[in-house]
Amino acid sequence: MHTQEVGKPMDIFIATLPQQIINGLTLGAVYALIALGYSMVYGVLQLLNFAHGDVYMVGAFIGYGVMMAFIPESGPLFAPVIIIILMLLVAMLGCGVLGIVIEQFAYRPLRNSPRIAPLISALGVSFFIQNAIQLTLTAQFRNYETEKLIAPAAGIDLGFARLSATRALVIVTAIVLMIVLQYLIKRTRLGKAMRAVAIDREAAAMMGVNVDRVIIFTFFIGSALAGAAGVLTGIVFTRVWHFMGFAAGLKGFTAAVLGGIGNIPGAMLGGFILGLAETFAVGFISATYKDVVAFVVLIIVLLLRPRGLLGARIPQKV
Amino acid sequence: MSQGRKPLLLVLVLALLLVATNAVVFAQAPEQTIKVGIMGPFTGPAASIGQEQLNWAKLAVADFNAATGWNVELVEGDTQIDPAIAVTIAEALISDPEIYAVVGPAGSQEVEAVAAAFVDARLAHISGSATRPSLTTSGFDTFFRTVPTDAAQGPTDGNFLAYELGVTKLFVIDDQTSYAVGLADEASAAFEAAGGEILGRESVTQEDTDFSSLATVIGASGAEAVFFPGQIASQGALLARAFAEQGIEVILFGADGFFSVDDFIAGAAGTTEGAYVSAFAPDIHDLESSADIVARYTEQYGEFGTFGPPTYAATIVALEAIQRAYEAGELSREAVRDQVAATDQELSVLGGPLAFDENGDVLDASFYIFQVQGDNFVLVPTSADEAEPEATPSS
Amino acid sequence: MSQNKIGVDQWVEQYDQRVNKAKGLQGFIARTSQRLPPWGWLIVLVAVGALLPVITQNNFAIRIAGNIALMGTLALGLNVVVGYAGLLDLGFVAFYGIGAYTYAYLSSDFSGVHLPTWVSLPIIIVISALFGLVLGSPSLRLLGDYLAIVTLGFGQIFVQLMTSLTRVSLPGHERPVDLTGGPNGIINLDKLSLFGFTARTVTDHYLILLVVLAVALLVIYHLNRSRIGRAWRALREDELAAEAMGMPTRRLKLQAFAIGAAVAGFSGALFAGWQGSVFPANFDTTLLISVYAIIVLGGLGSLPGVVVGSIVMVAAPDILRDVTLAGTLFYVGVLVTLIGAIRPRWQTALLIGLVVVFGVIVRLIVGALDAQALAEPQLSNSLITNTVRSWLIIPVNATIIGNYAFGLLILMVLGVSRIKHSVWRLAALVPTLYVLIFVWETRLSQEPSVTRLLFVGVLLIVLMIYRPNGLLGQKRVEIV
Repeated sequence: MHTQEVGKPMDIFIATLPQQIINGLTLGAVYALIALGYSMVYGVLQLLNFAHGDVYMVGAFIGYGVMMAFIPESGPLFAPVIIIILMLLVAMLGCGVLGIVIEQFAYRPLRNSPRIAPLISALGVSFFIQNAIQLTLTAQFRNYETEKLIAPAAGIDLGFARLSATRALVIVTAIVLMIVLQYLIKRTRLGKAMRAVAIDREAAAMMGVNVDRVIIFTFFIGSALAGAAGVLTGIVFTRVWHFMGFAAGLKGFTAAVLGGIGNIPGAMLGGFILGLAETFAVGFISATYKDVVAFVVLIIVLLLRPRGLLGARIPQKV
Repeated sequence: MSQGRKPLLLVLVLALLLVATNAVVFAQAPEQTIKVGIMGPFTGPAASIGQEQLNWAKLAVADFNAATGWNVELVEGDTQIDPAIAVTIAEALISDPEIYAVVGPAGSQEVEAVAAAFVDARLAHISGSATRPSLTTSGFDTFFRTVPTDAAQGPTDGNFLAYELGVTKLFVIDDQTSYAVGLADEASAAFEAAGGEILGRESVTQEDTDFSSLATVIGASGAEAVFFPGQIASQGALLARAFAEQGIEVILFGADGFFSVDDFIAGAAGTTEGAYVSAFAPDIHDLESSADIVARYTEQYGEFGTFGPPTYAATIVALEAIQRAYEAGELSREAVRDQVAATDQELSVLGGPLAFDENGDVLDASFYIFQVQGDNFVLVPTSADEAEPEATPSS
Repeated sequence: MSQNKIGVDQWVEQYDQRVNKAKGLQGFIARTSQRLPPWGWLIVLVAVGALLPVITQNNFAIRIAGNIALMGTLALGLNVVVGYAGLLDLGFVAFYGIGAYTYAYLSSDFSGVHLPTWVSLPIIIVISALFGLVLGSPSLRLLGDYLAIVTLGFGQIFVQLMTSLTRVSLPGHERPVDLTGGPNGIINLDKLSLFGFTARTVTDHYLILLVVLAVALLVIYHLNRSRIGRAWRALREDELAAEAMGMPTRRLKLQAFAIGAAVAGFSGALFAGWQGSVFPANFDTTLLISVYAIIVLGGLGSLPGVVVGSIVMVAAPDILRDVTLAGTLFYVGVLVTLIGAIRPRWQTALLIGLVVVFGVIVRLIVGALDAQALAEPQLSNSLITNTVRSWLIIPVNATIIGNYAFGLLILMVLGVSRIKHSVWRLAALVPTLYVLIFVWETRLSQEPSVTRLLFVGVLLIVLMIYRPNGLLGQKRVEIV
């Protein structure tokens, strides 16, 4: 798709639409993974975990560290696939543990407090992580050296658009993770317990569900997904830095609400829709008003469906 | 409950005493404590720029202290790029009588918010990065800067694109900072005056990392070149990567902030090859006269871009002005301000003479346009070098 | 506050009894504070506040006090929306911005209009309240956190529009028009002028803000005790029940939004007049976080809490800016925490002694292994710092080792807080404290800007854990 002739707006729209869909799906895959963690935690605790974006940032840095460790000047030590899988696994594990630690120390003591208290301690955690990273790793931007793993030229030229191998990797990885998550939640005992706790924590506890274990599990999975999102962001957009979690966290929150907060397929759908909405805003309206367009979409959706796209109409508890 | 209370009170009293005695010792410190303030975004979204400036200022103070045997302290004021915080910090620096000069603030909007307070306090402040033209023409006689204004750089860039590169269709991006918006406006005006056509103007934020959809738009617009005077070099690299990924061929032209070997060349993995960057400072990596400073900076703090060295220059200007005022026997803020105005360095870290005009702008500002070739920036000779940069600022 | 016992549960009842029984100074303070009527408190506040410019000529101190009053007023508005009506409004700062920008339009060369402040203020209040109604209307349909995200979006959109509405094509204009000044904002605003009095110095502004805060406290206090205030609380506790009791919940919500927005717009106007300029960056999410922290730290719904919260949230970060003072506060803070947390008290002395011995041993070991690794301590103006630095080991490559020690410190602190057995805990505290001091001297004291925010983060977490209802919040029964 080399520089094209300037045509009518409609022609440009049709010509660039496929490429913009690819762009939007990539962005949406990342948003969806972040939104999942938000939504899962919300589901079991009704807590807006504002430190979630920073967990994602830590994931991106862990991935960066692993990548640098296995790609010295002389070239990659293993096959690229193995390195990428390692990056994902280490980041997911690290972030999962981080999520559990955050839950244990910042949220658990506040479990029976007014709802806004953990919100503030979440902000405290977010401040702490961000500045701890800046203190130890400085405020400099780091660049993933993706090109040493995946050749920039690799990809499929569809004629009307180009799907690079990196983007394909990101989208496929995200979808695989989502399928695994669905399996965990639908088929395993812990997953079932998680759904039970989400519906009614006290009733679940009375039925013998170990609520604490479920909450730890939820934080682990949600944070691990954020870690994966961080690594995928690094692979496709290359730049990582200490402040990246802030905006990403807000996007994840938006996507989770868009889909119906607490609803897991909703978070996935919300992520993809938000990614596409932002991309289309840049592509066909204006890059300047990207966030405005995204929020207007959100507001319209919520006005039509006050509980998000897939949010269930649970009768209000009295 | 009640028996534990008295010791607690005792402890509090003791603690207060401790604070008080420490303060007393503090007051007995040598009378000749001299401090220099620095204001910039050292945390938050713009921390990468702020920290680079802070590190250069630290180095300047260390160099000065080593050379003179003085013990000047650097006082940090973190503005987090919010003008309201900058105002509070300005007040903090002003109310410390041991501070004789201030470096910064970094952003033009911060300078606008604090300049009046500094005028009232007669405290000189020298920015190494605020480029909005109107800052030096608003009567703030305590404000100086070691970088030329957008009114001077913008036309250079616009003309270079139109005349030297022969571009007729340009796409312009800014990053919503007062720096980038100002420079983009000035360059667009010059480019249009030269007969070129601006196909689009978009804004991104400094937090953006996904430039793929914007790249698609630019590719479809038929633009021959993109002018993106962003502050964050890695964003230039991200845009270049997005172009390469989609096979779009346009000339990328950045400014100042993009001048970073690490982020704009190494971080782009070859996709910025051939891109242009105009800079208000020369590449001090290659300056023989600054090699020593560069080596010490790199050893302590790592790589750097263009925002740091002008701050080093600004810090040195402040310190030398204090030294001259002290040696002349009158160490006061007013005297230091006068000495800053009288600055006449033969060779600054930026590789040339450094002096200010009556408004506080650098005299004989010159610009450098570089092209990315291989692993380095290569200076491009331009005809604009001889042309006198326009002195009349517009706001 | 003791006169209104309706809705007070058993716990509060017991608390009151305990307060009444308490002896000594603390009991005296507690009882006086309960006996002093609200207007008495207000007089104390204004009197103490008005004394400040008499005590100090330091403009920085007065400016911080002014910031406290300004943030306090702003937080009062949010307190109405969140604390009383229970609506999670994350777009609140936008109203502050709307007030500030309206002030800029009404009193600057940017628009060519120059109204005196006492004329522009009522206009600003009305405009902000109208915007409050606009934003409030979706709250009729949305619940809880869905409202939060929509209002958050509103706040973001406001900042975005103020940043980018610089090239707007308007009918009747040939060239695009600059509506907001973009990131450069609107500068050279008129000074605040109230009935012939023009504010010029920092002290002038401070006094105006102090009076404004007092008036706002008075108004909100009476509002809260009125019919509408009781209705809001009912709404917050249980919307369904309130509706069933025949309360006009829609109208109540809208009223809360409008009043909160009016207070915010009003404080925004004063802010703009004081700063003399407005910029989009003034109304970022950081401000929103601060205002929320103020009302939650102080105690949601508590008016004295708002004042205390804004003192903590505004003054603490600014005090930490002073490196020498921050160092002293750090050591004093550690000491006070230890004394407060460790019983019996002689163990604290033992602990400190052990840490000193531990430090000497470490010094000896490192000195014996590699004397080259130690750097000459850099002395400063502080007695404490100098004492500590001559005892501690400061390695040559302090930054890198300090960074690792920082990571280790986090793990150690987390670990120590999990140890239940008191002897083991004391033993574990020794190296932890040593590493803490080491990290402070090698890293934290070197990076004051970052350290400041680290501490704000820790402060938020710790305060919330120990006072989930805020410093002055009333503990009340939560409805599950």
